[in-house]
This record gives sequence, structure tokens and C-alpha cells, in this order.
Amino acid sequence: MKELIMNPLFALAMTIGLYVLFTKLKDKTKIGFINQFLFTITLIVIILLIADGPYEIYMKGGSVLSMFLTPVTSLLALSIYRERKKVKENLLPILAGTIAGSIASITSALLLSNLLNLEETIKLSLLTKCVTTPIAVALTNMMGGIEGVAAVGVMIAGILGNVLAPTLVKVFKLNGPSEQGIAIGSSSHALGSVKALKMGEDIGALSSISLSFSAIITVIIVMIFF
Amino acid sequence: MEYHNAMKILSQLTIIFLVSLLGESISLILPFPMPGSIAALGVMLILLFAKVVKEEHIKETSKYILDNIAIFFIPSCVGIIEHLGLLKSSWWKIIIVSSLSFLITFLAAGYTVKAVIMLTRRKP
Repeated sequence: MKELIMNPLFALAMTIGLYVLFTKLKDKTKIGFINQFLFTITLIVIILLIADGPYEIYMKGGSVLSMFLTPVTSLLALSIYRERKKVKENLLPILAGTIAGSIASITSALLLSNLLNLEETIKLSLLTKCVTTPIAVALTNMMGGIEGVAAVGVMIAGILGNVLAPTLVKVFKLNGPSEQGIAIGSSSHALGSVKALKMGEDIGALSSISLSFSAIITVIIVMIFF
Repeated sequence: MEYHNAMKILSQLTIIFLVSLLGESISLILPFPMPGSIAALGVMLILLFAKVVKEEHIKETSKYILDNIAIFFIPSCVGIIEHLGLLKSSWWKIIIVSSLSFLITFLAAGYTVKAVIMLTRRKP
């Protein structure tokens, strides 16, 4: 049994298998809050705790997937490139909105963490919670935060945006498609953009542009100040 | 035809890996720290706009990978297991900080855009 678990293929099969399983479960049951990414991470952590299997052993297989982090992140360039026309048409509002959003995201996370006396490593992991997971994980790793905590923060922002966006735009009277799209994209990345697309096609497009822009701006801010 | 498709994916992967390698090398040379993955994103973006890499050079492979991008981030996030002690005491703070900061970001971006639109409209 021990040999089986020690085999890198075990970790690899478990990771991909659980992800596929949760994705199928979500498609079948249509339960929106099933987040296959977060569910898989949680279940693997539980399995490792029960089996008393250390992280290094899991990473023998897991590192095969981690090896692809740079190539898969580089492909995000394609989604920015594809939207270049829409970017040109709305450059000023997009730039202003995503810059304001990124600054607000980072400073509010800093202030709130200090207010609550949050540990330094956790604080650093939450600064990037409003950008897409690949960028948040890379930046958190660079600053010395905890990648898993960064992923949790990113998921909280994403899920809140996905669930609350239609209510928030009404309550706070953000009526135009650019206000809505840019607010959603800057604050809750791809998960929010999914809902933005349901609210309207141009809202969705603006949201996915804004998520790319706020990622770039967050990278710049973090590199300058942290 | 099958053979042709497989070769297409392999050549697309080669391009993606080479661009990534270039990004990783650049991040090593730069005088300030920049994650290799972000440097690779920048390199890919520049090459796309310069039309050195064309969309059809990476299209099929990109769709397949981007649709399932989360899988690749699972192992590094499972690393949270080494910090469970920290989490036990502060999980609720993580939720509060993330939620409030999300709301503040949403409003900052939304109202900034609203202000910009109003200002640019006022001009004749």
C-alpha cells in the first residue's frame, strides 16, 4: 500500500481524477457553489492528513503539474490579445477603473490585515486576491506568502463577485455596462466574469478585459512596492 | 489526418515551451524579482502583437489548456497543508479581509469608471 502511495503516478491520478470528478458532479447536479478547484484541494489535504502522507511525497507527482505553471500562464496573453479592439475603444475607463481597483484591493487588504493583526505571511497572500489565480500564486510566491492561502482569497473574491454582482450593481447604482463590467472584472476575475457574461455580452467582454488589466497593474504595483 | 493533428499539437507545445523558457531566462537576468510565469506572459504578449507568434500557432493547444487551467495550480495550493496551524487561528480573518477588500475594490473600480464617463461626456 505504502509503495502505491509513494508512486508519483498516484498523486497525479488523484489530482486530475478528483478534479474531473468534481467537474462532472457540478455539471450533473447544476449546484453552483461546487468549485472543483477548491474542493479538489480540500479533499487532497484531507486525504494526506488521514493517510499521514507528507506534502513532499505528494509533490513527487504534483510537481509534474507544477512544471507547467509557466507555459499555461503565458497563454493568458492570448485572451488579452483577442480583445485588443474592445480595449482600444474603452481604453480610458478601463485604465482608470482597473488602476483604482488594484490600488483599492491592495491597500484595503493591507489595512484590514493590520487592523485584525493578521500574520505577515497570510497578509502577503491576500494582497493579490482580486486577480486571476495564476498571477496571484506567482506574486504570492515571490513575496514569501502562502500559495494555498492566496488561492483561498482569490476564490472568496471570485465567488462573491459571481454571486453578488447583480445585486451590488443595483444597490450602488452602477448602471452603464462599462461601470458594471470593469467593476466585476477588477474585483473578481474569471469567476465574476462568468456572471458578467450572463448579465450582458458587452459587460462580459469588459469584465474579462478588466481582469487582464488589473492583473498587469497588480503585478506592476507589487513589483514596485513589495 | 490524425497524424497531422498530433503533429500540430506537438509543434504548438514546442512554441509555448520555447516562449516560456525565454520568459524564465528573462526573469533570471532582470535586476529585480519577477516571477518567470509573468515574464513569459509578457513575452508571449509582445510576440503576439509583433506577429512573430500568430494566434493559429498556439490556438488549439491554448484552448485545451485554458479551459482546464485550474488543474495545474492544485499541487502548489495543496502546500497549504504545511500551514494549517496558522489557518486554525486566523481562518475567519482571511474571510473578513478577502470579502471586505473585494467589496471596496468593486466599488472603487465602479465609481471611478462612472466618474470618468461623466467627466469625458461633459466635454463638448
